Amino acid sequence: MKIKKKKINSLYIHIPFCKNICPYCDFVKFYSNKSWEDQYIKRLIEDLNEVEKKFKKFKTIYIGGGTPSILSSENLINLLKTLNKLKKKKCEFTIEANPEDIDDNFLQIIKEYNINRISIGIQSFNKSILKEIKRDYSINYFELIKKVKKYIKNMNIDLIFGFKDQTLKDLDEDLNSFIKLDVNHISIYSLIVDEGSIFYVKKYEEQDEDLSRKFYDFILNKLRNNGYERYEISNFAKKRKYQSKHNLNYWKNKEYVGLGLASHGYIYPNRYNFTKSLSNYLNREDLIEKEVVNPKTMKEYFFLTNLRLKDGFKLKDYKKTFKSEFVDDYEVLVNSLIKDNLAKITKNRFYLTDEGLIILDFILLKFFDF
Amino acid sequence: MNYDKSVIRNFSVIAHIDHGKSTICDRILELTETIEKREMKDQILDSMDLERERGITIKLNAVTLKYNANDGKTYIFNLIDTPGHVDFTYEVSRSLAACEGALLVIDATQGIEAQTLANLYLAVDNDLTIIPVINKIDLPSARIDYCREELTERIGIDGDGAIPVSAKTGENIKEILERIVSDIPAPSGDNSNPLKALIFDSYYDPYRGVVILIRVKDGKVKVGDKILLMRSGASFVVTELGIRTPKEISTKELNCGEVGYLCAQIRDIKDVDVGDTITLFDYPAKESLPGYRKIKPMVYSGIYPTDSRKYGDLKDALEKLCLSDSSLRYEPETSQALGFGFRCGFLGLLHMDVVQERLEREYGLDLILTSPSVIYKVYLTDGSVMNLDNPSKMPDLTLVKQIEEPYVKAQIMTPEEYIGPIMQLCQDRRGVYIDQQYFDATRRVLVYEIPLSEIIYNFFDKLKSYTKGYASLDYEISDYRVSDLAKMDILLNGDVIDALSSIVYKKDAYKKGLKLVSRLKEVIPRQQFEVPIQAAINGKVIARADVKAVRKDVLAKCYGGDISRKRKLLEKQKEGKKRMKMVGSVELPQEAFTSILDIGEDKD
Repeated sequence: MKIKKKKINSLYIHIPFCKNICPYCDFVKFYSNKSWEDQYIKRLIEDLNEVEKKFKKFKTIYIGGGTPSILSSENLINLLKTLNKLKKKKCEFTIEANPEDIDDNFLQIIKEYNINRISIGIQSFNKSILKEIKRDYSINYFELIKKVKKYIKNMNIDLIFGFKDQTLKDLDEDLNSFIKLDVNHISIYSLIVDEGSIFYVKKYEEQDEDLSRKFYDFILNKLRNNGYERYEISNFAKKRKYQSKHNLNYWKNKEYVGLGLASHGYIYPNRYNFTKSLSNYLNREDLIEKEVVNPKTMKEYFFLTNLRLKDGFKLKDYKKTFKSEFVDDYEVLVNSLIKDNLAKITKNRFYLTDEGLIILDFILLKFFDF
Repeated sequence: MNYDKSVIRNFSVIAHIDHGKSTICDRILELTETIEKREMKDQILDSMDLERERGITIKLNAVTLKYNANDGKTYIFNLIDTPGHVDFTYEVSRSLAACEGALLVIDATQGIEAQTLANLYLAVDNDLTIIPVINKIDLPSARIDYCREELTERIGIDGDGAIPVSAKTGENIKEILERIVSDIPAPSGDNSNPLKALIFDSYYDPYRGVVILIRVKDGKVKVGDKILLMRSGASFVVTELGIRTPKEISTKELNCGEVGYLCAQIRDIKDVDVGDTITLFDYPAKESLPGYRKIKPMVYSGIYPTDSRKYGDLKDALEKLCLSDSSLRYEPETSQALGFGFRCGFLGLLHMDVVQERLEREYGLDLILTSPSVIYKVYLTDGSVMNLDNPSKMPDLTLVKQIEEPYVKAQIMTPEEYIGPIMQLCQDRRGVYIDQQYFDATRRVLVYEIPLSEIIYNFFDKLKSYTKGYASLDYEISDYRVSDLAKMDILLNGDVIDALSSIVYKKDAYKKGLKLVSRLKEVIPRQQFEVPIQAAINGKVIARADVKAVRKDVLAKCYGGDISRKRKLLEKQKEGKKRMKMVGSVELPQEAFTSILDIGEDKD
């Protein structure tokens, strides 16, 4: 008898290797090493074969890192071959890449194996900022993106703002450089100095709250004026169809399978993460940590994901999940948020306004505390 | 072992803070093998976590030990530990009343300190035999001969008789034990007399009720005896007696001269009053023991639960804490801003700190303490006088004729080179110079009269920082004096927050108001809307600052699907918020209520 396969939309694959360690990054990562890489990909493929037995084919697959583009052609091809067995015919299939790694060989491989979206971590076009974050500042991005487009049109670019001494003029120039590239999606994050990053150790100072807000408002305005719609706090797309379906799946609090060292997954009722130790991962020791979602944390997850979205959530989705009416459960809070112009409610939806989104955590605490 | 009063020695140890009292006690316990080495933790008598962490003794603690002396006899020692900080003088006087002798410990490198003197006088008042001990002789800077001279000249104790020891290396500790045997008299009294037992401490045990620590001064007590607490009038049947070694060992009786614990299924804490005398119901003593000088709290503050629903828990906790800390006073009060709580009286700021920490740790409470205040005497135009311990209760100024505040006589002992800065500090705090004495070749004693309110606002910390920790402070209330004072109110969003009101010296009011509002602005987190903070006197605003509104509060990145981490971060923030108090529409952290303490003078 054949086991009935579980239906989950999204699959995330983590590649924890990097050539350079970015000073702002607090992810688990290792300097690349051929032997580790080989063993790692071998393990990953074994796991993927298991996943294939248990789950239906995926609507979105995302290879993130670390730096997936650092993989050797052989490892990359082996991984992609396996993933091709797990994808639906129509699948948003994304890979993250570092500008330094992108060459015709890489692009040919990913194209050949059906990758149809690429996310490039440029972070900034400003030479002194690039130096500060240890990036190659000699790349001609205009030429690079032109080349990528020949292979893959659906593209995201990551930018970061809020560096020390960065001025509004610097930011404006970064945005102009981006806009000139005519790319359909951008993720733009304010620099956060997290524990575990080099900046943290160096006591790098985050941008002051008021200034950060000023930068954020500037970005929102400028990108909107240039045809980008902000659909999540830090994500903008030219058209609805260019929104990241994979990330939307997270933000709608839906299930996803995560595989690879330090990756996260959500298979109801478990949220889990893989070990952060490479040797444990390779030896299959203490592999997974689980958190069972309970009714209380379920609500917290529901709000902290859905409220990131410009469109918030459908009231009927809330009712379906929690068997009660959202407006009844949170009447006082909802009314005060609406009164203060931090949120709006329609017949179908509840969502935060621009003013609300930018203080999301402040609002979330009110929901958590209610 | 059979009871023999002649081999009992009851003593306590007097020392200045840091002079090594607890370490000496540890060595004594070790040498008498009361505690086996492997059980030995440093400072074993400091049983509270808080005591070990801070390295100070707060509570007195009693232990019974056996000593095989050189004369071939086995002696029973009852050692009663005492706290050294000026705030805890009351506890010291309690332990001294239960003893016939005291070890006076002096740091060989520091000599005699003001506080040592104060406690020594207490001991002499209690007719105790003093055995001076010069500690830390292992240090290169030890000055043994100098200390001997000081003992003779300053106090009139035979300095040549002092025992030089090192608690650290254990050198000469045995000599201390021999001297306890030879110098300290055995207890007086007789087993056949009516029972008189002094209650010198008590604590609450959930299984046995109130556990009382007693010193039998006369007569004896057995399990099954019906006892009478002479002051409270309550009577009970003794269910358990014993000694602490420091493990509790139960005995059938406690005889004249002995120190131990007593349980009698006492459920109501109020029946037990430290300092009271226990006697037998059927064979009562004619009069009670002198008991203790009741000590008056000097500093008052409001204690409120952060979560108003915990009022009952706070009440229970205070009741229980009072058992082991009889100097703590409290009565219910209500604040518009904070709800139901208690106005508590403390011996000093350290005492207040300790009470707060004990309530939070031992009873798991989250508390808000309002800024401390002294008791003001407010003379009203109708001829009446009110004792004001809560600034927000200050009557309308039109009804007030004059206000008096308590002054202390402060003795500051300091190495000469710090005289300048200390005089400046005292002057800034409205101190009146009285006298300057030479203590020895390098140290002087400055005598000032200073308003108590100025002392409680981090005077001691300032003093320590100006003198690299070398100065010591001793003070006692001298009198009340008329001062030009006013109530300063703090308004948030235009509303007076009663818990933030304080009494200030009018001439300093403007400066203090400015500092206070800017300090509040620092400690109050950003709120949803901008919140004006104003300081006002008689309804007239004298200073203003604004708490900013939240402008951006979002964790922008949420990729890789690591959503659990984000939830945990928010949970953590939520925990932090639990320690805040919602006052009107503003969330105030604990620091906001005591921020007046931080503005003593310019930040330097």
